[in-house]
Amino acid sequence: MNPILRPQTLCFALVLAACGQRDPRYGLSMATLPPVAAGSALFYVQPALDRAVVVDTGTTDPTVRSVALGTGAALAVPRAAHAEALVLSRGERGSDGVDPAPASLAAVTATGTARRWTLDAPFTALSQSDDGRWALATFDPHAVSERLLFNPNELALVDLDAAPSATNPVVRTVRSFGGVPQRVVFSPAMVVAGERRVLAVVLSDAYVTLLDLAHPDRSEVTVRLTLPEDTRAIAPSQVLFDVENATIYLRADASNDLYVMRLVQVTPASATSEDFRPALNQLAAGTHPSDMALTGTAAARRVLVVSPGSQDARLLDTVANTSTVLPLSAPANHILLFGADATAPATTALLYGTNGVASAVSFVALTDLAARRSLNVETLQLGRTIGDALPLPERKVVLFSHPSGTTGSLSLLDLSQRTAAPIYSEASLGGARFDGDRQTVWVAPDGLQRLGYIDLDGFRPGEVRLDAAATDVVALGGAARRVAALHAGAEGWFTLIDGAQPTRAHARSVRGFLLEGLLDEGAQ
Amino acid sequence: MKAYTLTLPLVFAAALDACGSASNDSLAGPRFDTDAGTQPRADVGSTGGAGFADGGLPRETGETRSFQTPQGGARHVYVANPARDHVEVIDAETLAISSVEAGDGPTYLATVPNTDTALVLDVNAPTLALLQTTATGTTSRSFDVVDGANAIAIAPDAQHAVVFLDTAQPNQGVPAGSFQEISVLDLRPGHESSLALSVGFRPTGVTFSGDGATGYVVTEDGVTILDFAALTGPRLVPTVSFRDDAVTADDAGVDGGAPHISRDATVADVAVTRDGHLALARVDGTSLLRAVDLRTRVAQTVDLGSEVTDLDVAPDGSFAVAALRSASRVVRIPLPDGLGDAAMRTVISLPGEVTGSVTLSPDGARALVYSSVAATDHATLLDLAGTTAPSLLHLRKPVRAVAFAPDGRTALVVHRHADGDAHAPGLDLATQIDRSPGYSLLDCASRFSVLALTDTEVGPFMLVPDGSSAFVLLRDDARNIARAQRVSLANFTVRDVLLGSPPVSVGAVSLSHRVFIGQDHPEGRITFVDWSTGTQQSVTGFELNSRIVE
Repeated sequence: MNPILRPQTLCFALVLAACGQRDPRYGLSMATLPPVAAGSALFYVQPALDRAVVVDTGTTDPTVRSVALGTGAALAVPRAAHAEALVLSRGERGSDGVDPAPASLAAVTATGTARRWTLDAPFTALSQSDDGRWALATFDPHAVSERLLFNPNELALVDLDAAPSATNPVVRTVRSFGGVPQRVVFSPAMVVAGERRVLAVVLSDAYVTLLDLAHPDRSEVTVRLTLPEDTRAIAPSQVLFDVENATIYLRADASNDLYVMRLVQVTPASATSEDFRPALNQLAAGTHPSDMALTGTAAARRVLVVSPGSQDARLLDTVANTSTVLPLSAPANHILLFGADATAPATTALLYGTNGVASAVSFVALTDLAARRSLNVETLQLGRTIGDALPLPERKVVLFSHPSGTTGSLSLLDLSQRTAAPIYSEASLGGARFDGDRQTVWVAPDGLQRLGYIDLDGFRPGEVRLDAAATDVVALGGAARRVAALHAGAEGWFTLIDGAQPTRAHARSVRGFLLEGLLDEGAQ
Repeated sequence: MKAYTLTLPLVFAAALDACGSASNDSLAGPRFDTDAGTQPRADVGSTGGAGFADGGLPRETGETRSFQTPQGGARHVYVANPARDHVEVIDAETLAISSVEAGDGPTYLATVPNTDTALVLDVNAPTLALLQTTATGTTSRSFDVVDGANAIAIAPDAQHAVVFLDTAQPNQGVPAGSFQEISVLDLRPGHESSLALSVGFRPTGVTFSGDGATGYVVTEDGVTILDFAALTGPRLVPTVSFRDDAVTADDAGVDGGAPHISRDATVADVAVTRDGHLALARVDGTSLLRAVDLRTRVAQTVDLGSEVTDLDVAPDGSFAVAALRSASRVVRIPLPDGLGDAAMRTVISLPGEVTGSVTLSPDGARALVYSSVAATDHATLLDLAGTTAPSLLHLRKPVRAVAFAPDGRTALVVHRHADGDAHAPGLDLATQIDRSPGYSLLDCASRFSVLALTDTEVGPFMLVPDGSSAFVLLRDDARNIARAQRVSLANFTVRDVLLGSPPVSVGAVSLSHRVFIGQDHPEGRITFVDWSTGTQQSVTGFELNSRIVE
């Protein structure tokens, strides 16, 4: 292993020792938010220092840069489809000697630049569209507000491709029936009422709100999932989009129906009214449906649903609104669709049950399923109950963990061969990660100075000894297949591992980068 | 032909569709026809006695149509939503849903046959909404009506409707005031209006002449005649009594020779002939029929010699058929001449059979004779138009109800079953059949029947207007049974229609050739089934649809 120690470590220590009248800034926390990997860079956000430290591993020697952020950074996430990190800062409410500061959202690049949008409220949650263009800042209903008063139904829509302006972000309060936004899901771009657009679907208790991102000035559309007198706790939990048919499928906890919203064109009532309206329908989906997947063609769309409550799977004809019931030998609560290769249409569904409900999985051939029914179902016994699963359809494998005393054991299910290879492991799958090209799965066992991996090409396991226990492992983008094993330490420490040559000899330790700039700052 | 029978505890039992022209019950709701048998009464006419085959058989129950289930129009289905003061209108072809305001608590709903016009009564106000759906949407117009009204009858020409409080039906409590007020609605375009009228005590049903020009309100006091053309303003309308109300010396015990009807007697199965000339009823628990000429108001009594347990009038009004259960006979009475001339009547004896009820086919050419209370699995098919001898049908299970297809070629017979688990281990086949619910399909021409056993009670059913198929609803919530059976009346094959939630009602949308099955679902669910192809579509959440806000 090749250690790379940053020189600032020593300098910072000397400065600390020499201080007589300590600057208050020396008392600021060095703690970081969970590091974010985006592109070839790792982003460490230090809220107390109002900055992000960016370590770009794309160069021979990692480059370290410090980027100023808004006050009170609370959340850092990779920007979808971009080599950037998004940092949500809650601002400063102000106190004696401390000026108030607004909340903000920053997009930080690997090269150390940042774009910042000021927000009106100290939001705590962030959602993004798949293409990374749109971000929606909301309040996490479970987060501490740290404000005397706040409106949990307020949200801010940010166009990340556009500069800050009077219309970016768009801040609004969505209509409420007593609930608050729990989650936001973005649609792919789809043609609705003759116009290509992206929708944000805000999931709240017993209702959903549709926001048209192409026309953020228009009224939102709110769809209730229960009648006022209905006391069921219908909590939306899964959203699928049928792009060809401009239809949204919604699964909700405590409902045995799937909600189908077909977006049909209407004449707007006013200039700020929408030109579409959901036509709501509900499909009976067995008892306690737990997962759904869209199959078939646009003209004959089907929804495959697993319903552990009724121990079956159902193929729902969305046109006829009929269902084909497939009794299952093994209860299932998850669906994984896969085809001949990563780009081919799905021809088979793997139905499996996690959390100890099943020790077998079912393969369901989707072709002519409504007619052939159980003839299309094949059950594979694994011999052990399934605890957790890591599906990797591109590689045609699924990694299952099996609860087995204090140590875990794994199975690698080959979707093509329909075989399950047992792999004994001392670690659980809790922190397992795939590398960038999803060829290797990495596990950082808690408290162990080793990083485990399984090469999915040959199901070959291995491990790399580290200098310290890893707290997490993250995959890095870029040309090389690399992962970073993160270590605890205020100075910043990770081990960079070459996925193509996962050995200790080819690993490099990068350490001390969080001290970047501290000495310069203290000398000012 | 009688679409349904109202069995009333006090005085009248009315066959509302006795002349085939009653309002809008030809498309929606269950189609039961059951034996309206009675307990023997000792004080009137001839009663059952020693030697009669059915002594002690209990009164049989009738089935009624609900105004609270979805109702079908020509293309649209109307669903009253009293909680929201709206009626949801569902296009059976596109499944598009619209919602229209319909007063305060719209609850009781009826549609005008073969049109997209609906009438809905409010329970929180004495108002009725007239809904009319066109390509541009549904309009709603409100009318004042009698307080507490819960029943609607629409004339066959759709020009008039009568609404009233039927105390025998589900209602919101009897309001203070008169039980004798009705509202007559003029539905003619440009003349829409409501007129309050007083009728006999406790109206129980309304029937109409074939041309729709006259309505007949059946009440405890008799039949009130509504000449719609003459109803231009407030007035008293005539009520013709079935009783002999004259006070004579006979009351002191002197018998003048004619059968005497007690002042406490009740009449049942009231029917009015299609031409509106004659009203006919049986005197409950007796061997007597009472006929009233509605033009001259002259009444006559006919003694058939044995208790009349059912009475049906042919759709064209040319004859009536009376069931004499105790005598195992059926009597065909030409109208009106057979009332006064016993020689013109045809007595059909069916020795050994329990002839408690009779159901005529829609064309009046055939009749099924049976009992819905006796432990017999026999029924008898009568050829009333030809000369074919009565055919005894071995149905293998006792009869609960009978319905003919609209074309009269086939019939659906719903069976009763014995108590006990049909699937208990060790049972022989006969016991399993006895304990199983089910129904039979009958081809009238060949007398061929098919028994279909079901795994739960047979619920509401209907035979589609063109007679090609029947739909039977099956529901058992404890066993997650929620389906319908689509029965081809061409070959008697049965296909399951799986439903997402328990079925509660079935009706038809005539222009769309679709049956709609209303289901028990928190947000409302209706499944449409093409009765020719079996293709089905469901719409759920139509009440939620109207709550989408922007």
